[in-house]
Amino acid sequence: MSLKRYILKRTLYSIVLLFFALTLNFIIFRMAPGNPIQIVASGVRLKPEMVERLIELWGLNEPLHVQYIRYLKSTLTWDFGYSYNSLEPVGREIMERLPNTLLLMGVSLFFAIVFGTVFGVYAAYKRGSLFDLTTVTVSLFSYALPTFWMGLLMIYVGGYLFGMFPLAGTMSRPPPLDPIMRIFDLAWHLFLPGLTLFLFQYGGWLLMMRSTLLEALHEDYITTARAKGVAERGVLFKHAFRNAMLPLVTNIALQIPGLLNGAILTETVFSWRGLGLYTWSAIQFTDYPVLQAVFYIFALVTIVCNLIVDIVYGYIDPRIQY
Amino acid sequence: MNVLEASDLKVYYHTAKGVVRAVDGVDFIVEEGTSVGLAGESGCGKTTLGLSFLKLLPENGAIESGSLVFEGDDIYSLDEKTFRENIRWSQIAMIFQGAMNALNPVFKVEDQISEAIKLHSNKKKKERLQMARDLLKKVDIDPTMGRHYPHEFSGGMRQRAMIAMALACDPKLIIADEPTTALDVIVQKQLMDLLRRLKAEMNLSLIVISHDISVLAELCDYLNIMYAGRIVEWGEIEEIFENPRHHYTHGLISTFPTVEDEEKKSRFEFIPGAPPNLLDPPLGCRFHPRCPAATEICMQEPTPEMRRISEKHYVACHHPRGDLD
Repeated sequence: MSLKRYILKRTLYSIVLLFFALTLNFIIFRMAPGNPIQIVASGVRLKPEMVERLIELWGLNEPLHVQYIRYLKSTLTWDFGYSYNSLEPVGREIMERLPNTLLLMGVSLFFAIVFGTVFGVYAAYKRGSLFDLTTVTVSLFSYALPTFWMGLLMIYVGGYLFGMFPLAGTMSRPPPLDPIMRIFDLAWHLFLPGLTLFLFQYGGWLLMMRSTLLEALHEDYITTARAKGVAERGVLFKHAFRNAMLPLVTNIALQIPGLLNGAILTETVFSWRGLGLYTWSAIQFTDYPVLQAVFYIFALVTIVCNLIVDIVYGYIDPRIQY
Repeated sequence: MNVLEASDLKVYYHTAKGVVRAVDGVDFIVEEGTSVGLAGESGCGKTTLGLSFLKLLPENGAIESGSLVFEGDDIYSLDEKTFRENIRWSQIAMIFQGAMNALNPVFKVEDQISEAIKLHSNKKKKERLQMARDLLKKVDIDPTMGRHYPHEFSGGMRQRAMIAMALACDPKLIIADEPTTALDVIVQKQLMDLLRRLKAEMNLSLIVISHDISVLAELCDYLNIMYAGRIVEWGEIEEIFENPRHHYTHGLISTFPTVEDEEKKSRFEFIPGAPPNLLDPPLGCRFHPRCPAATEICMQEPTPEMRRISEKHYVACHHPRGDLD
């Protein structure tokens, strides 16, 4: 099979998979207990005509299949309907928050991969040394800490005790007018939540890099490389690393859902105006349109990442046949 | 002249359970232009011995003592960097077992051969690739196959590619560790013919390590029989096959069927028992628990020394076969 056909096939699979995720997403919220109208109405006393009007407005009086088709249409057009809570269009609210989440996730993932890989390789290179022992211990420790706890600790130490960083939020209010100052302000706010998510992931990357590399170092082709006269550095960085990279790339796809999870908790702790915080408040208000939209986006991100990794894998591992 | 001369070589592995004496006082000689076989059961230390000639032991292993002389120069005391740059692969190359995993799966075959050349010369990339393709041709592989990855090669082709890589820097000595193991007999035959041809063409000396004594019979001029970390018999190959003096050698040869001997065809001989644990080898002659001729003296220290049978035949046994005592 050619590469083109392989990509086409994988893309089709992904679309089918996304469709299943979409459907499940619809069913779950229809099966969930509780009536969203009552929750909205719990704060304010609504007249029966008002309730009637809301049900009609949100299309909850229509048969399920009509609701389903409408749901599909609104999801695929990135419209998502209106929030039950803020009564704002969900699509717009998401587009406001998505960049913040991508920034937080992207920055922390990037640094986690870079530092995890570099230190992991070096720990494997100096296996058994004090450096190896220290980094592995620290990694296991940071890896095992829950993000929300670590987040609270960060706020306490960095924000309260030393007062170097803001306690919450994505930007100062009001935000600085100068665009460069805005970037600095954002980075200043990003530091603590970013560090929290970085520590959450970094240990995993380091431990995985170290162990796959050590595994690769025991392969026969490593002995061949040494016999050829390749110096230890070349053995490690060229012959072993190229092989150890393969599980690393797979792991990127597998880590994304976990990272989204971590983002919900971290964003909530730091009041970071992203999708995670949005999800958290939507859960509290049983804000179905928002939750449907957010879950859909999470599923989409996971599926797309897997698709990309599948395709990239074919390029870096010559043994993969299309 | 001797290409390689090892004497009283000791290679130990330091494990959590204790010291494993994988090679325990071995003398080994390779004369120029000859091929020397090294036979023995699994775990007798033959691969360790082969690797120690390249000073390529696993992390927990080390050459404890002895001497190692290559073409008249002491290589035992060379430091790692000098050894790597001047001896490894450029003078002594190795063909690894199976070549299944001996080639790196993520690099093209010609690039792997070219890398060996790069490490020991300052030729340009284009020239190196041309050399790699010529080497592939030499081992009867279509040179255009060099652009492919090891997994696209058959087992026999991988072994050939491995041989091509070993030839890359025009070494004096090649150590072939189980060069034909796990391949079918037709491919085995082709590879043995290839090795013989290359040896003659390139004036190579060979060390062939195998548990399969029939492969060694095909390829070698001399044969060393190794048992539990020691060489127990050494001699010219015909002499050893016709007149094995050590009971272990006799057992080893008898375990292989012969086509000519009608009587032997129907019954196999075998050596009872299992090879000893090298953490704690038996006192005296290490073969005595399995030996049909063992007496009181075999169980006592010291281990029997090599005795001369003829100019080119030595055995380490208190009661060699054929003696009347």
